[in-house]
Amino acid sequence: MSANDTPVLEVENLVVAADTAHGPVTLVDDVSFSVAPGEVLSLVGESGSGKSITMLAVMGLLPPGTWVASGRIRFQGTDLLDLDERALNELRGGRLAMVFQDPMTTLNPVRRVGSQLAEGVRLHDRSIGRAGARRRVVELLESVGIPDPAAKARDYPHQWSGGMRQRALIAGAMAHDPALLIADEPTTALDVTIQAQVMRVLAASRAASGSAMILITHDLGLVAQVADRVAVMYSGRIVETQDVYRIFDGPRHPYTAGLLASVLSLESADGAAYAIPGQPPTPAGRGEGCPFQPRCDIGRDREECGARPHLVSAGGSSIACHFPLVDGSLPVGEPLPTIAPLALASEVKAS
Amino acid sequence: MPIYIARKIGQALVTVFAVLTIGFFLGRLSGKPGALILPEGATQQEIDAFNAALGFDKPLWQQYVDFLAGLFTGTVGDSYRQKVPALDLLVDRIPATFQLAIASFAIGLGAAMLVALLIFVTRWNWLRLALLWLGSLRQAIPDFLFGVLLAFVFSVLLGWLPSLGNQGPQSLVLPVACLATAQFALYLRLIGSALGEQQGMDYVRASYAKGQSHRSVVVAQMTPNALVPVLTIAGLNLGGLLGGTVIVEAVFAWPGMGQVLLQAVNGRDFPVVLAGLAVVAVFFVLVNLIVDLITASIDPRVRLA
Amino acid sequence: MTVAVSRFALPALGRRRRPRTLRPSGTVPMYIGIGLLSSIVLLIVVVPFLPLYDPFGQDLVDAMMPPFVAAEHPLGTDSLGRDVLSRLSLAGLVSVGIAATVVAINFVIGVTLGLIAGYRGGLLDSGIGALSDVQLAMPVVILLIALSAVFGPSTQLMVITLGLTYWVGYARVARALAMGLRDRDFVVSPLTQGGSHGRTVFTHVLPQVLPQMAVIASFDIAVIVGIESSLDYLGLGVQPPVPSWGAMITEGQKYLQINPWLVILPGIALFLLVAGMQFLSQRFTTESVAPARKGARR
Repeated sequence: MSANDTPVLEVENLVVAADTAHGPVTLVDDVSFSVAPGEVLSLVGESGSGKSITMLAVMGLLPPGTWVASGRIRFQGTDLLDLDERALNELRGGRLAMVFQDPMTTLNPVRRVGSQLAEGVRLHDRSIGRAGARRRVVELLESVGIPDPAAKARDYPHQWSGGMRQRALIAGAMAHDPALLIADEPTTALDVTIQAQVMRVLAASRAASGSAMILITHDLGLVAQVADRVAVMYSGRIVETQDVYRIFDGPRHPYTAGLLASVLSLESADGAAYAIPGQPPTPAGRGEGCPFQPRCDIGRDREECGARPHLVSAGGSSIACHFPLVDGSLPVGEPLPTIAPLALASEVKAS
Repeated sequence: MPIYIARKIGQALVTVFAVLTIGFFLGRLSGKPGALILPEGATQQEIDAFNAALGFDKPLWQQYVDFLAGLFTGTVGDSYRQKVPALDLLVDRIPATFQLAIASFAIGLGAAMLVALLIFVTRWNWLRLALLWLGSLRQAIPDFLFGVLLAFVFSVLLGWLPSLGNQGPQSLVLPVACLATAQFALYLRLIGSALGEQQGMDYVRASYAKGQSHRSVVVAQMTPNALVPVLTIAGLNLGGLLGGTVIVEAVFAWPGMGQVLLQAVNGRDFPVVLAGLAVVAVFFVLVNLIVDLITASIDPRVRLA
Repeated sequence: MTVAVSRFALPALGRRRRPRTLRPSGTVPMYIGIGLLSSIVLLIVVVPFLPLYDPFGQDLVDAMMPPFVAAEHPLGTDSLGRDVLSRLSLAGLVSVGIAATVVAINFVIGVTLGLIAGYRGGLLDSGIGALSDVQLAMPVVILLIALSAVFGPSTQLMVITLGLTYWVGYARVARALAMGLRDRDFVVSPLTQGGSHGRTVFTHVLPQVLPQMAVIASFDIAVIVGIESSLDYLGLGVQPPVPSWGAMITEGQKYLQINPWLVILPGIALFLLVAGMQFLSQRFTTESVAPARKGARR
């Protein structure tokens, strides 16, 4: 544990709701986690699990029609939900930064790239003038490997490649040495070959500034490479958080096990692809009990799983499950019906 | 960029030429004008002589060639009723018409821009709803009716402003008010829509994430993007603006082209109308050219494509 | 998931609930519209059956009578002693009749061209598109001035000109609908069974397209009345002695100081019809020009 024990980010019982035609629904359903200074927490889950919305809530960027119903979001000790727009703007882009998924649409198409980055520089450094900001932008571009940065800064976004844009945006986000960088699927929109380059840039920038990072992704391979800890989200809830090494060897939540099985099955000998059968519930369709129950081999027929499992935390890890797996299998005394990855894969092939 | 400009100018010239050609053949549709123009009781000889003098006894293709030749010397033909080039009758009137049209457009668009930005930055929803409702009301009333109402209230009832002719700058107030309110209603809706569309875009969210204030985001980030579709539609709406100007000139007896054109209709004096068409076409094409240039200067994807 | 969105909302900060958007109630405008329109319907339909009905009879003795004075001229008389109420009624009938004719022409031309463009695509589509661009650019007033100078101003000329000018809206919608429908099964299967394109369009595509378009068309009548009265005002449309609201206002404007009713009454009639229809159509058409916004993100 580092000397500075105050977590950079502490999310406590966050509930985010949205208005729909049928009334309000919960998109983020009582989520709690924390990030220590300098660590990388990876937030993993399917589309619709609420990972992006959680981060948007942290940044104060929830789209119209959604709002924080309850909970706390503490950044370096301050509750962000108590801050007004001005105070929040002091933090955003400075000590608290975010990088988004699609670098093309994240940039304003009618303004030069350099000018947009310079704007970010000047917002958090009142003393630097226009010329100073321009120089700083060139430095930043150089630091992420953009060739001929002075000339390139005068380009418009559509003239750059996707990888270049994302690297520049990362440079911009890291320009003020943020305590926390939120990266929302930073490489999903890019070619696989470019992804590695961008992740390297991310790693180098972080090393230089010591920033903590929350990496949102559905790419477990990336998680294995980069993360210190992993938080798994399902249907608006955190079902498990764990140290990265332990989670791959011994997932405790059946959903996590299923996720890992669907990735690992790609490497299996018979080539069958495994996917957890079924779909996650929609926010409106979420019932009273464990949201994973309908798809869970263990909990499907068990009464206890009809009640919502609490998130139990110990140390840096937590689990929300009535029958958490132990060493990848059921708890004491209960033989697994079928949960080992290869067994599930062959089951699918047979049906 | 130079290629872009050259191409646009080329298109403009083609459009004007097309309008003039169509106009020419349109004018020949009703046959020889002699019988219509000369007073009752004119002899067939006089009619024939009249027509010959205007070149109507030549074959059609030759008339067209003569017409084109005339274009090079800057004329679209002589008025049937008065022995002067038709364009001359209009030339004095053009400034008054464009004064009215451009003032109304500028005020309408400018006010709409400012108010839309104000509404966006302050988020005063009540203001937005009230103005949109009033705008709908204005758009439901035909221009001429609104103009007559203005004249009735401000000139007849209150006596504050003149309502006929051009007696100085006060005479401009009511006609411009009539047209500018319609322009304002139109552009407020349009700009509001365009800004609203930008509000949901990723780059706007990213700007907030950088720590930029709402006011700054609206003005510096959203507005240039919103202007592009608005300008395009503004260029297309010019036709409506000119039509409205003719009507408003009739309501307030404003000494512009409208009066001359309407008189020409009654006198069946087509060359004058053709001259009017030429002026309108040139104006339309010129303004659209300017709109294209402004759009290219804002949006780099247009000029660098 | 659809989320009700206020176009003017910022990203949500803190724990504030998003404020309820003020939206005027959906049905109020409709009732206002019905109210306004019913008075016009009464005017046009009922008045001709009244004993006082006489739109053309002149009576210089009783000229310029103000309204609400005499029983046989409830709305007064004009400069030639003609009964204003009767003239308003007939003018209304004429205007609506003209507008309905124009809309019918627009409809037929627009839907036909739109279906062809959407269904066939390719050169036909581009050609029709170019045609509609030209249409949009030319102001109707100028066009009618040009045509009137050639053929002389008349009602028929106006009807033809308006009919040939305002079809673009219908074409656009018909085209979009046709493009959406042309790959659907119930269109493709008759073709594979050897049916011709023409008949397919007529029997299968058209019925899907008609209802939506008919609604638009009926609201357009009031819009055309507005345009048509402007043209009447300029002397380019309905010619005397047939009355029209626009021409009545032209005439009445000369006497604005003496008897403003000659302008006010036709003005009210015109407003009732056009605004009434506007209120009614708000129920069925969307507020803005821009396409729908993206819904909330995950």
